[in-house]
This record gives sequence, C-alpha cells and structure tokens, in this order.
Amino acid sequence: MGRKVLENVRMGDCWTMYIGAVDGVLRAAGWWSDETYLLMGMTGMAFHFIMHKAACPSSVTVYPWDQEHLTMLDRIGVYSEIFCGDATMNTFELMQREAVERIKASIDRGIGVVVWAPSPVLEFGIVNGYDDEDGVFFIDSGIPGQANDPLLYTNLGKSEVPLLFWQIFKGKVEVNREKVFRDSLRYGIGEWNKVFHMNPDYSSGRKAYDNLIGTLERGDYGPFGLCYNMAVYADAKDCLARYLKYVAAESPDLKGLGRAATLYREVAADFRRIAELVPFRGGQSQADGAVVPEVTRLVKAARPLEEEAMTVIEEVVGK
Amino acid sequence: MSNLHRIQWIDAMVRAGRYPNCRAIAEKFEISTRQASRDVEYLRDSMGAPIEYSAEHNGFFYSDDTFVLPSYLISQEEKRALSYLAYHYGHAGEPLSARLAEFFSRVTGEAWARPDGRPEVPLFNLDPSEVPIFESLRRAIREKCKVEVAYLTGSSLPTARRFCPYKLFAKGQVHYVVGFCELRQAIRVFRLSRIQGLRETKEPFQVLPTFDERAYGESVPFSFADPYVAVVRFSGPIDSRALRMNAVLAGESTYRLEFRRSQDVLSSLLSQSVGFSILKPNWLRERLQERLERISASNRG
Repeated sequence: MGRKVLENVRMGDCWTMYIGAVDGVLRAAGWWSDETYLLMGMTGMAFHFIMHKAACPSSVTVYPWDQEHLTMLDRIGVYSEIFCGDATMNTFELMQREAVERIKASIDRGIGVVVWAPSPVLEFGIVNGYDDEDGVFFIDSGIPGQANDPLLYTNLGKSEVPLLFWQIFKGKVEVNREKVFRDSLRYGIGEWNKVFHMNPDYSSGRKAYDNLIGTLERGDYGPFGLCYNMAVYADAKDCLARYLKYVAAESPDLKGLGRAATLYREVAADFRRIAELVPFRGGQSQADGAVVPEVTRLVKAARPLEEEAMTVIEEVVGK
Repeated sequence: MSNLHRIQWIDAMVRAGRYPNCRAIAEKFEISTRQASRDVEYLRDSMGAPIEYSAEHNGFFYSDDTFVLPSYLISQEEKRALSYLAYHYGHAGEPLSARLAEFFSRVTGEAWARPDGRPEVPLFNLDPSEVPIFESLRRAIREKCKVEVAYLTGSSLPTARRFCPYKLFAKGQVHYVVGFCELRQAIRVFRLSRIQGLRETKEPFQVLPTFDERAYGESVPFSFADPYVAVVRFSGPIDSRALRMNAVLAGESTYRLEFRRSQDVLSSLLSQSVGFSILKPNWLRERLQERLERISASNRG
C-alpha cells in the first residue's frame, strides 16, 4: 500500500488543455521553462484548427492522439510513451491494470502523467498522485472544485467518452531550435492544407472555416460547443501570433515570418472579439442570436488573413 | 417460420397449374391434412395470396396471376433479429429510422408503436449473441419480472445476480440494461455483452420511485464509471432516505454510501442532525477537514 502526491505538478494556464497538462508536467520535471505560448507553437499545437460541422465541443480534441501527441513532444525533444485504448474493447481490464501500474511508477519517479478525462470534464488532465489504500489517483483537471475529486483506479478510461489514454514522459534531449521552428511550421502548413480529417464530420485548417461559417449561418450549433471552441481557438491564434513573432526575431533565416505574425495578430484579434461575443461560461454558455451575424462577419474576415499568413509561412519555410 | 419450405412448395405447384390440395400437401410433407389446411390459410390470410379452391380441379389456384410470394419469408431467428432492429430503429428518432422500424415490425408481424421518448440509438452493431438476452430483458421489463443473470464483472469475475430490469438503452454502440441489483442493493447498469446467461423468473418487482429513466440514454451524459464508496459511522440513528443517495447499513449506525461528487456527500452529511465520522476513504475525510477549516477560517473574528 503506497501513497505519493506531487504537489508541484499542476495544470499550466492554457485553453488547450492538452498543452496545459503537458506544460504542468514538463515544468515540474524541469524539462520546460519557457512560456506556454512557445510550447503551443513549438509542439505545433497552436496550428490546430479543427471544427465540427455543428461546432461540437469535441472539435478541439478530435485528432489521432497517439500519433500526434508523440510527435509533438518528440518535436521539442521529450521522449514519451503513449497508450490509447477504448473501454469497450475486450481487453480493457488488462489495459487498465497495466495503466495503473505504469502511472504509479511515473509518479514514484516524480513525473506527472497526462491522461484523458480524469474528471467529469471531457478534456485532458494530469495525474499527480495516488493512494493505494483508497484505490485512487489524485488529479488536476485545470478546473477548481469538484472536478478535482480523485479518480478511482477502476474508473481510469471510463469517462463519458470512454477512452483510456495516458502519456508518460521519460526523458529529454536538446533539439536545435532552428529545427524545432521549421518542424512546427511545416506541421502547421500541413494542418492548414489538410483535405481529409480522420472524421468526416470535422475539418481542419482552411476547411474548418467552412464548417464554422456553415453552422453559424444555419444556426444548428450548440452554444456550449461554439463558445468553448472559440475560447480555445482565440487563445491558440494568440499563441500562434506571439510564436511567429518570437521565431522571426530569433531566427535570421525565418525573419520573413514577421509579416505572418502581423497577420496572425489580426486573426487573433478577430477571434478574441468573437470569444467576447460568445463567452464560454461552462454549462451556462449562451450564443445570443443577435451577436451571431457579427461573429460570422469576424470569422469571414479572419479567413483570408489566415490564408495570407499561411502563404507567407509557406514562402519562408518552403513547402 | 417452420412452414416456409411448404409454403414455397405450394406456391410453386399452384404456379405450375398442378392444383395442389390439402391431401397432396399432407402426403408430400408427411403432415396432417389439418396442418396442410393451416398452411393454405397462412398463405391466404397472412401473406395475402389470392388462393382459391377449384372444385373442378380438386385443388388450389391463384385468382390473380400477378401475385408474387413476398420475399420476406424469415426464420424464427431472423424474426427475433428483426424485432430487435425494429425496437432500436423505433427509438432512433429520425424519420427514416421510424419508417425502417415500421417495416421491420410489419415483417415480423408485431405491432409497432412509435416511441415518444428522446432519440436513443442512431446507429448500432447487432451482436447475434446479445439478441436472446435482449429479448428476455425486454420481456422482463414489459412484465416487470425479475431475472437471474450470470454476469462477468469489469474485473472478469463471474457473479450471479438477481436483477429488476428497468430500461434497455445504448451508448456509443454498446448496449446496456439499467435496473435494481439485489446483490448491490442499488441501481446498476450492466453491459449486455457481459451477461453470460439469463433466466427469467415470475417474481414481480416494482420500479423504485427514485429511478429517473431520462438519466439513461444515448443523448444524455452517462458513464459506466463506478461510484465512490464511503463508510460513515453516525453517532445516533438516522433516516437513511434523508441522505438522498444509495445507503446500505454496514454495521451498527454505520452506512456504506455511494456518491458521485464529494460536495454532494459532504453537504448531505453536514445536513444531518447527528454527528458522524468518515471511516473510509481517507481522501474524503481530508476534503471534509479542508471544508470545515475554510468555514472556521471565514468565521474567525
């Protein structure tokens, strides 16, 4: 019977919860000390712009986690191990038992673990401790209050979206910053130009705008999803604008990105305004019909700006 | 439908102008002439065949040659599967699904009633092994009779349960039944795929008044996560119903409580008129201490 709590492992401040979780774990482990917007940029996550055809709140998390999360962390030189299973699979109990042991072992090493939905909130969070006597993991879901009730070992992977995902961080190597910049930018170009998303109800990059504008014009969006997506992407666009400015200043070869940074600042301003018009207030989120025309106008205004910014990035980085 | 092959033979004979009669049918299939007569009635009354008797030819013929034997001749097993599909499509809430449900019901000969509940199952996989379990549960729910099930727990341990089934539903293409489990003395959700065997009983049950069927369905938040369990000793007698959660007596003035959120159980405990101590789990006791310290701090002069 053991018990250990890593008091210093807390979620980072980021609307993209996966990066908030990674930030918290890596920072406590001493593997990340820069600002969170750089983590968003360098991993490539800031380039994510995925939208469901009716702005479902899952938009921000529908992508191949195992493949993308492994690569994102590898991009910044962090070696991690990932598992992704489904609670409806025949061998789920074995997966879960293995996961409990692996997570506890990581906690014993002093490293937190990123998991899917450790609380009723359907987002990524952190496991930062365990207690064998109670059979629970201690968690941080990034949300104060009851959402941080511990997670029973037997409930790992059994959220409303019953996926068992864990990512354990094992080590860090130094990666040439220029390479990190270029890798992340190339990833971003790919995301922007992505034609097929893994789920046909969602689109990525340029085509995500079509889904967003479509649902705003039809009015078939859910307020919770629209508000949540806009909050997440407003933050992501802001991170991206700051990241591009940083890269342009840091890398002489990439200083041409200054123009893209300026354009993204305008995109971010539009999204920030949208997030103000449809503010995310949890279950009380409302998207007042009166503001939707203005939201639609802002989205339509942002699209060509982002298109131009991506063209600049493509010219600077090369396809 | 065990008479399927006989129906097809009668149809072929009639079409060929061979004027089969009941005696010929009985001899061909080694059945009674009464059974043969019932086959002809089935062909006429249930399948709409314009079959008539010709005294002149001492046998049957079609008065309308355009009649075609319906292609939906189905076996009992197929009928059960279609009944299963009719039920699920009937609950899907889409116009197309409703039409399919009606069609499947017509094929099986069962009455179809449009459900007035919310959509539950837009799409699903049909696992043949679940069909008989599904049928038995559906019957037990309708007749409000308990069932005995051999159930494989999440830890793959076989358990025997007596169970009062309340509602069948699906979520994420997995089928569940919710009801009262006598072993756990609480409302429980079981996955159909983990029911290894099922026996219907004639023992009636009543649905608990606290059961809210709207809480179980495709479109409502639901997870099959286990509840937290706390063991709490009270300093005096309590009315366990006032706790507003599953509470099972586990010793003298000691209850085993099931809850989903710490704030719910703590609020409930603090609203009791008697003292209490949380024996398990440790984390909940710590939450209580933190809460009391916050209250105490905010009331210090």
